[in-house]
Amino acid sequence: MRAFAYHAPSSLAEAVAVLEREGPGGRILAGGTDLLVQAKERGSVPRYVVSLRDVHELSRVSFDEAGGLEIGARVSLGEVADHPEIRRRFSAISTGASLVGSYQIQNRGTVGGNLCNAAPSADCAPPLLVLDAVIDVHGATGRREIPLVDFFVGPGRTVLGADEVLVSIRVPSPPSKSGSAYLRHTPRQEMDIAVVGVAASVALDARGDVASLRVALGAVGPTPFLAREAGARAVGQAPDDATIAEVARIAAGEARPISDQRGSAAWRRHLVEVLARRAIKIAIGRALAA
Amino acid sequence: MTTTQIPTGIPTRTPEADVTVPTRTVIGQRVPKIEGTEKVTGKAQYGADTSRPNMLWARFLGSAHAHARIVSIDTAAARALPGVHAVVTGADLPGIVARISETAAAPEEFDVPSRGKRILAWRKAVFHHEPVAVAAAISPTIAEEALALITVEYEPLPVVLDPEVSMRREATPIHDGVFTETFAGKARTPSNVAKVTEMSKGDVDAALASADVRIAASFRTAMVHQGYIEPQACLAEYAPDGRFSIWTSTQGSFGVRSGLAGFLKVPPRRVRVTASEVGGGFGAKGAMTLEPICAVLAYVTGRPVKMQLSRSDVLRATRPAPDTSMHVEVGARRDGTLVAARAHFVWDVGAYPGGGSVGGINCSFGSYAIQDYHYVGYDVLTNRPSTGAYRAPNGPQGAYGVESALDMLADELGMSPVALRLKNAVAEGDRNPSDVPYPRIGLKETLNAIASHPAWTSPKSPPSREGWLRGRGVGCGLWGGGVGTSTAHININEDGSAVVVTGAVDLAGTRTTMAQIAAEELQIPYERVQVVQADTDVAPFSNPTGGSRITYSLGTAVYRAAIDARTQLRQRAATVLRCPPDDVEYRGGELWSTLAPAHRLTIGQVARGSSGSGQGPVVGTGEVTHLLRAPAFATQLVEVEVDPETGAVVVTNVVAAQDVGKAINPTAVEGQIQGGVVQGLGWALTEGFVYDNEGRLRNPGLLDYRMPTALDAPNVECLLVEVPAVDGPYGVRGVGEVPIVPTLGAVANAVYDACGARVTTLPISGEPILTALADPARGKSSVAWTPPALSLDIDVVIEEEVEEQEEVIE
Ligand SMILES: Cc1cc2nc3c(=O)[nH]c(=O)nc-3n(C[C@H](O)[C@H](O)[C@H](O)COP(=O)(O)OP(=O)(O)OC[C@H]3O[C@@H](n4cnc5c(N)ncnc54)[C@H](O)[C@@H]3O)c2cc1C
Repeated sequence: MRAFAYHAPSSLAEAVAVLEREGPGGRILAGGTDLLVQAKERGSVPRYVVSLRDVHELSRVSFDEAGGLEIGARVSLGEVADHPEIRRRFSAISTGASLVGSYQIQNRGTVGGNLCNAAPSADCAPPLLVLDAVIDVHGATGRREIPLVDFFVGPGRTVLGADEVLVSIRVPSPPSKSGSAYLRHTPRQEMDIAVVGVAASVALDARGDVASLRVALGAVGPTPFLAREAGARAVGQAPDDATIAEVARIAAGEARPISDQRGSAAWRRHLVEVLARRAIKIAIGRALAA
Repeated sequence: MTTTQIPTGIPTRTPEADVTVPTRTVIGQRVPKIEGTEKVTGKAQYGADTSRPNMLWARFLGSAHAHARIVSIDTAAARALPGVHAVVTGADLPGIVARISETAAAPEEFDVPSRGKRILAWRKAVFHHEPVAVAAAISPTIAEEALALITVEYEPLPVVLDPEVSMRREATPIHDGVFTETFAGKARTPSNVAKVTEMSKGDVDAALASADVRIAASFRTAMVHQGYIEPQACLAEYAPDGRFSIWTSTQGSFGVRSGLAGFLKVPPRRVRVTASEVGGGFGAKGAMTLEPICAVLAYVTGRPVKMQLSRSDVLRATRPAPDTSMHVEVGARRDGTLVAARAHFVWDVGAYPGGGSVGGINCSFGSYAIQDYHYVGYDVLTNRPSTGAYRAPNGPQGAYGVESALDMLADELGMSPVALRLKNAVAEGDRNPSDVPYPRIGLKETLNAIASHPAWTSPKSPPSREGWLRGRGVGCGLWGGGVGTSTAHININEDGSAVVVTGAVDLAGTRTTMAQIAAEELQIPYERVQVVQADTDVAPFSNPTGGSRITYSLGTAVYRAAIDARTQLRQRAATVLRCPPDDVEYRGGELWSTLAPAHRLTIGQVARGSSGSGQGPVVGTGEVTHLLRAPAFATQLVEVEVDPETGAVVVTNVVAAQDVGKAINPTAVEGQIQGGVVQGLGWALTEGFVYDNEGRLRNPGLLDYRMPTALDAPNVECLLVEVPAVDGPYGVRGVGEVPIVPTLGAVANAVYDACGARVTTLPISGEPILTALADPARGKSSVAWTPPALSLDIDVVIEEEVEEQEEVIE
């Protein structure tokens, strides 16, 4: 592996200043579980890296009813997976984080890294999409907020500028009578990449009908994305098997899978339908129990 | 993991024993592994752990095409890069070897279609990432930068990846110099069919026609990799006295010595090979890989040269196991008696000839006594990497087809799959497909062990996952047994301890087993035996470690060396005790004369005295060349849960019954069985190389080349059946190869039992299950396969057999 310069600023402002000063060719290093593997195996070695190791202001998870959930860029996947409040109110997110790699990977890797790496199969992306996450970003020109639905551009590409740092991920408090779930298919039990990932979130109204439903898909398109038609279709319907089956069918139609070494397009589309059905069912169950 | 040892009551003949051992003290004990502490504390020295002062690092450039003429290679810019000491291509080799050996070599000798000889592609590249040039530099990074500066001009040629296409008469031969070999002779026109192996008996057509029930089915397995953790690594040094020192991760240091000496055209005494600890070999490290390249670079640069493969190099350019197409027909009477079998095996051996065809057929059908049969195996070349040995070479693939077909037959007959197998299982005196009679064997005993196990006799428990289905399946398998040459020395120290010196590589904890055998026969505590695996200048000769031969063959050598040492100790004691050697009693590490039992000598006293007494120190030696093969059989029961909507499969339990002859160390035996089973599960369910149409591997990493992880490995319960082998000490049989053979078929049968999907392609997990479910007639068709026309104008003059070193290693 080629040598690269290593910077370890101790504040966010300093991190942004390093990016501005050093110019293009740099990379933020959070857990490094994508960055270093890519450098070693694909030879994509950055000119310099800016480690978030000492930027302690990014290592917080906070939750309150009014402000919702905020996950700092340095928070490990393991902490997100085990966080009691996230497990209770944002089940899909804790499931997504708990499925990434292994314990070792979860101890190092971050949700921010998972999103910025922008793999179509990123396991944290569909859960955050169905829960309306917003990305908080700092750059040389200041601060901005990006809804996650607008964040991904293509495989490995996001709207982040070269001088920008993802600071945190914010998720609004879900309404009462709501629930979410994330399922993925992998040939192995763990340490595997999703052939298909499906997240669902459901909110029920006072009568028990569907007030809102979102389905997001991973590994069946150039980026993780919301299956908007499928979600819209359920609103106002009873959360019964017929509705669920219909929504799942539409979601499968919205998938844009390719055939590769992980599976054929036809099988992936089929898996979307199966997993969407199951994920929606689980989310409804959680909403009813909430 | 639980284990049951099943004694069979058959007495063990311990050959050559000149004293009766009243009770065994160390044999059969679960003593801890000798090298265990070093390994778990990270102190063990693997292939890449040796370094020398002034060492250079080498990297290779792989071919950009799976099949192309190499028009030119320009290395000028690479050689000019500061820090680069040498860049070598295939065209340079004849000149370099001529200088090393001081004999002129014809360039053509280096341009032959041979796995062992073509270490660098020359004139033509025949698989993607085949090494075409190597660079040695002061750092790995500079060596890599040098590779980027090499310009190769290729003229791409048509790529053939399907062996059933490549084997046709009209296919263009990949090599001009490969002519089909058969038992009758060699063909006269070049062909992609490197070898045809045929075995037959009786009139199979008539027998099939007369059968009450017939099954015909085709199966296909994917090319898989052995998946050893440690990538190949080698260090070579050239000394001014003309000698080469090699440190390498290999299964056979003497094999590397003779192979390298042959390649460099120097006498073996100019090569010294030290084998490192090996982080897994499974057959793949039986043949040379990096040693010739490193030796050549060390000679050219005058500096030590180290080379280590990356994981993606390992997956793209070492020697995986062949993918196999099989067409299997079996016929039986109503009562389940097998009357006939016919099969064609098409093995995709990759870019260069070689493979385990005879053993493969014997492993596939050798579990059953069948009157009339006709089996044909084809070694077919394609533009994929050369394949190599992997645990019971070619056996798991063939057994997958045969064991699947047997379950289809059982289904058709309405018979229990275990009963069908028991009815046809081979026993002593039956013959294998090569028509060699079996000595005492234990297949029926392993079948009975499964037949009476609760996992088979109790009703199926409901699935643990909602909507999933549960199933169980069985499979049988065998390995004919490994023999070969082994030698051991045992030095008796003055303190009465012993050092066993061998030149065989320990892949699986055999140092521990050898210490147990020596301790048992010398009647000293296990802790007082040390086992040294020495280099080729120091150690007595042994063949490479492979084919499940070490405990059986090297164990015999150690056993004989211990008995020799004991004899010498008695002779020396006789001098001290002033009695005939026959009157010396040797027991529990003490020696005395039966005439004066009160005067006792310890081994240490005798050894101390002997080194100064004129009779010399005690060095026991034992060697072995020919033992009777000890075939080992296994029956496995696999339990799975299948998600019929996604095709997901979870293996929930495996019961592995195996005839181990005698478990010298049950823990080590279980390790072999569990390891073989888990590799078999990966092969059955998730592993497989995926190539694009250009012949480039699409999954050259462990993310997409899916070996099972610890979480995928189920409980593997071992049933150690002990039917003693007729030759060798204690009745022991080799245990390493067998456990992977039955697993693939057992998994396929379990999946069928769970959901009714007869999956005829590997790996099974996922889409293939859904495809099979959508077409329940699949696999039940009785389409017999007609082999394509081959160019077989056989020259009946049988050519002299060229001895291929790697053929003996599995
Ligand atoms: C063995 C293994 C198994 C894995 N399994 C899975 C899996 O099951 N599912 C899955 O989705 N992923 C998996 N991954 C990928 C990886 O672990 C995850 O994507 C992880 O979340 C990445 O986080 P990180 O902090 O390590 O990112 P890093 O490697 O540090 O960074 C990843 C990318 O994001 C950028 N980046 C990181 N943080 C910021 C920031 N705050 N601002 C701007 N840019 C930033 C980096 O510059 C880099 O380009 C696996 C990886 C390995 C090695």
